[in-house]
Amino acid sequence: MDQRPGAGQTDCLTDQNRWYARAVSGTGTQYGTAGTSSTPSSGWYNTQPTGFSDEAVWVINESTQGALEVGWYSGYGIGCGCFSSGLQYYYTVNNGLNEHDNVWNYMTPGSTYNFKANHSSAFHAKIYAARSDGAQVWQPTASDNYNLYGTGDSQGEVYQPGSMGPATWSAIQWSPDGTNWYNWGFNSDCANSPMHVQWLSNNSYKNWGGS
Amino acid sequence: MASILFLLLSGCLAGRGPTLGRAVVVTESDLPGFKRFLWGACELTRHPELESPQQRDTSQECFLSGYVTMTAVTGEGRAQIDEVARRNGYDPSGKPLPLLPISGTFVSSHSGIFEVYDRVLVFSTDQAAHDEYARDTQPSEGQYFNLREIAAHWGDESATITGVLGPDPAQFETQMKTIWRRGRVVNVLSTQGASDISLSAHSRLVDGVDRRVAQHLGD
Repeated sequence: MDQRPGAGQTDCLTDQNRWYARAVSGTGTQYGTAGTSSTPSSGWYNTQPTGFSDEAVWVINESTQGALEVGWYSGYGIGCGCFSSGLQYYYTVNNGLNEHDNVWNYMTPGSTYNFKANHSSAFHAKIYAARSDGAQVWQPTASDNYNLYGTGDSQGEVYQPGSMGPATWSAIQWSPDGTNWYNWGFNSDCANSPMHVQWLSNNSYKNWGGS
Repeated sequence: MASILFLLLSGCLAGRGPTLGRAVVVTESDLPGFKRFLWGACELTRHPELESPQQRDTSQECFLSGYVTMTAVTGEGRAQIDEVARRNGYDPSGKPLPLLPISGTFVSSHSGIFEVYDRVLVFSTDQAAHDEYARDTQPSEGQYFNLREIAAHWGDESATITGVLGPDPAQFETQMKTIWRRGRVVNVLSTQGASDISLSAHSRLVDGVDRRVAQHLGD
């Protein structure tokens, strides 16, 4: 089932609030992580004070611990210092410490988005969100200035406290060269509880597997 | 995500006794005519798997409060915001809150403050608080439109910024955000509202919280 190059290097972890997987993407200047995520259904409307959720992909330089993250969230965002009951894009730099929330561009519930953190040249890491038809719907302007080159580490993250629902779907891919993309190891490494990510097919994974 | 995870609501905290954060944060008495919908302890997740042990020694306490004006919760104002929600694919029927952050015609047809958020972080040392302050005041490129700084004068170090949360100030809220540190306490207070949002109204809220922080620290 698992045909990915470097599959043995994947690692899946959880702190019981987040479930995330990591894979070494390769070395050099071109690598990346991509995620296809289906936002929660039209019933989504976050009014719970405890309600926070996000899904994201990362590229990380293992040697410098530089990292670039992109995804969506709902709840209180540190970057904005405000609460969103809807679904919003965000990205972080500086190993997740500095967050930028896009609060004016509501994402559509029940839709599929592609997030990509792609280190495509020596000095430029590009992050963006696109709809399933390929149309790019968001790209923060600050994303062209991050030097992450070196050994790459792709990471996907699914973070949903237990009170949150409904389930979403996602597929995570990683790239050793910025060109070839491979489905990622949630399937073999994290299919069982408590990882809550279930392999469905070569291009389809379900968060909250089995629920 | 470097974001706040609410762990417990106030009821769950009953057994832990009062905290400094809870004692100083913006309260309902500071904001007549507003509905409080956030009130509870929070935790900075800060991606612990990526951080060094030193970085992981973050806040001892995190407390957050959030408010929205009642004119946005019911009546004609709520109807204006619900229209925005439906246009974006959200169903606001029967929900206790409008779609937040507020946007659409409500922004230009109302004045003053619509939303207030106050996050208090209490650290073990002044240095740890300073480190958090430095992180929180890094440039917010891409976060705002028409971003500018305003002179700030609170605590040991402070910064106030204002900007629009979207490309059109008639459709998106203008936010004022003050980040300041007094001793080992860092506070992030955001007010959001119409383009005529008042610096004096924002400053009054900051003054009140800062005064309570100073009292608790014995300054």
